[in-house]
Amino acid sequence: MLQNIIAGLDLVMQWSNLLTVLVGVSVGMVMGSIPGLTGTMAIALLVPFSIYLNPVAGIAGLVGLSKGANFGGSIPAILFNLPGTPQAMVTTFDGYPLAKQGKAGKALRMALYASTIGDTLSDFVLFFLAAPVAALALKIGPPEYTAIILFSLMIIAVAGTERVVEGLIAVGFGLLFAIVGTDPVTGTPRFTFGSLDLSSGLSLVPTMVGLLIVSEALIQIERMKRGAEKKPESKEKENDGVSLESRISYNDHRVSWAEFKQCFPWIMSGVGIGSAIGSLPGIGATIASYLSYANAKRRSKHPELFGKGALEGVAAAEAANNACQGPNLIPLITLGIPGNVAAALLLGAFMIKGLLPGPLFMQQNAPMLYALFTVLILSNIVTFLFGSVFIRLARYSMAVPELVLYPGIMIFGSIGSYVFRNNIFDVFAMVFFGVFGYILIKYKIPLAPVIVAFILGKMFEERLRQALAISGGNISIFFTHPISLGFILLTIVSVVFLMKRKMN
Amino acid sequence: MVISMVSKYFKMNSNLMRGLGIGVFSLVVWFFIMPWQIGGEEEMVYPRFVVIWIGISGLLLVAKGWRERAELTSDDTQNGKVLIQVGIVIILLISYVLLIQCLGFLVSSFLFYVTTTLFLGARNWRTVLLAPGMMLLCVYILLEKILNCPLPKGYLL
Repeated sequence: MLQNIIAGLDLVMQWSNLLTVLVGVSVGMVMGSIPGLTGTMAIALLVPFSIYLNPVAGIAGLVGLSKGANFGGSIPAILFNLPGTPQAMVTTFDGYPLAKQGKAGKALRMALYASTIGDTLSDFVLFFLAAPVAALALKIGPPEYTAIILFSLMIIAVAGTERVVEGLIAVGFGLLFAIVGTDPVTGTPRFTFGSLDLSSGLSLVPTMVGLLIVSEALIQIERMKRGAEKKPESKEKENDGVSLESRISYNDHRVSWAEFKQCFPWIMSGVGIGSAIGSLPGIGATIASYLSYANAKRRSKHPELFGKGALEGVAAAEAANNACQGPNLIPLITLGIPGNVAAALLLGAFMIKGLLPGPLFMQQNAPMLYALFTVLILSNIVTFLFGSVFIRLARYSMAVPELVLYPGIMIFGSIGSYVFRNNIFDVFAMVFFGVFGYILIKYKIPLAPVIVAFILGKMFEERLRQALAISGGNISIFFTHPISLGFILLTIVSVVFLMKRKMN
Repeated sequence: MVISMVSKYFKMNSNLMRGLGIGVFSLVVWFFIMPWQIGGEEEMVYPRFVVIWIGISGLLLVAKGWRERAELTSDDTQNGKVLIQVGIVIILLISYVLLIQCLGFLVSSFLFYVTTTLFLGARNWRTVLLAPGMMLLCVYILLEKILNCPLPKGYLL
């Protein structure tokens, strides 16, 4: 094993490989921070270019891209309440309130620390636990997936919101929007209203942009207009008592050692949750970040601060989100099964280089495997260094006056919605969801559960129907599979416990 | 604003009104929209489950509102004038999206930006004209030239 590690290091430690990691991380970070341009798109755009690089450099560049984009998505999530990547959505819960309080740099730094720690530790999980975790992942079937997703949806509705009933309504709306399109089994149209554009379903990016950013822009415009009608001295109160200058004051942008120590337990629990969820193909980092957030909120000494600017919330969400990255590669490397779209593209890149991940990969290409591990760790170091510089520049966007900011954000949102599928219909969808989101906010129905339920809705339906197809329509399948039963019981216990806690 | 007026007239609190609204929405989807938009019993099963989820949540909200029915006044304090101004921004946004197909992305974005910032009260020419020009130029270079992502074109740009 030591020989293979040294051989792997030898493969990686060349200037061309280090340069491609640097370029990959920086490009990924920029692309991840632009809503509509995800890390997956960045990998897809650059896979063809990897042909011209040696195998290690090609894979190193793509891995760097993925890691950079994953952190990059948290930057607009914190600064503008607009996640650059879907999995950064949970970071908005506390990241954006922190930015509004003049602590954007603090939130960005904590996101950077949590991301790189989470990602690095999860790479060690990949390194040591690939084989046994792959064996466990094979036991997860449709009933288990259904139970896990149902657990996530109920936790989102109950733990993630102030008002439980409104949370349940929000989840219901998210599931309803996820139905639009075609039936996953029979292929017949559902809620398409005769529109060809709707037959492929509502796209995630315009939905997210509309619900989060356009609705928020409308709310902020309403706030500005209300403030304009009041006396000038009350305008500072409208901005939570924080003047524009102090929003970028230097002292608010550091993370103290005490703050880091306070958040460290949630970073570690986020690593555990993210690694566990990440090793299961198809579950996704969004669930992991949400579960980690809910766990931190439930166990924190100050749960009332969550949703209002709790640094622990940012730490927990980002750690879990990034801790999925390493274990996501477990099914790819050990079984040749990509766990998500980015892993599928990496599989393509591997195959272009003549490498075939799978059960024999560890024996036949051990130096290459250890080279991959080395590249993963190296990418985290580069992400930390480059990210430290990037966030210093990014937070100055908070100095942009609101009159300029919100129209600009709506235009950027339109760009992001359009470029995802090159379809103007998506921009109309963005406007629809923007107005819908504004109405939901006015009537105190939270938006986050709508989006998470929308993301999980299709997967939930597919797994549910697969499970029922296996059992011939008998729902006892969910109670006869131990892991599924375990999650259902966990759901019931968690919901009862959380509701009692809220009532107390 | 509509809910507060109706709830004051009928002496119902906002939870009761919202819950009833959600309930009515569920019934409309169940009896009218689903039969119209979804064919086949198998295809209806999961949508029915979701509509039942929403309907039950609405009933819970009604129950919550009924329990709090002593609070007859709505907590909805809306300023009509401000809501109209937000409505104008929404109309500007819809017009912008409609114009993209005619005028192209760059021209319609510039017009939307100028109109909206003027409406919001900006008067500095740098804010109103220079900022969108610079922003759209950067967007054009990044997307069209570097990333090769074509932006919608119209009769102008």
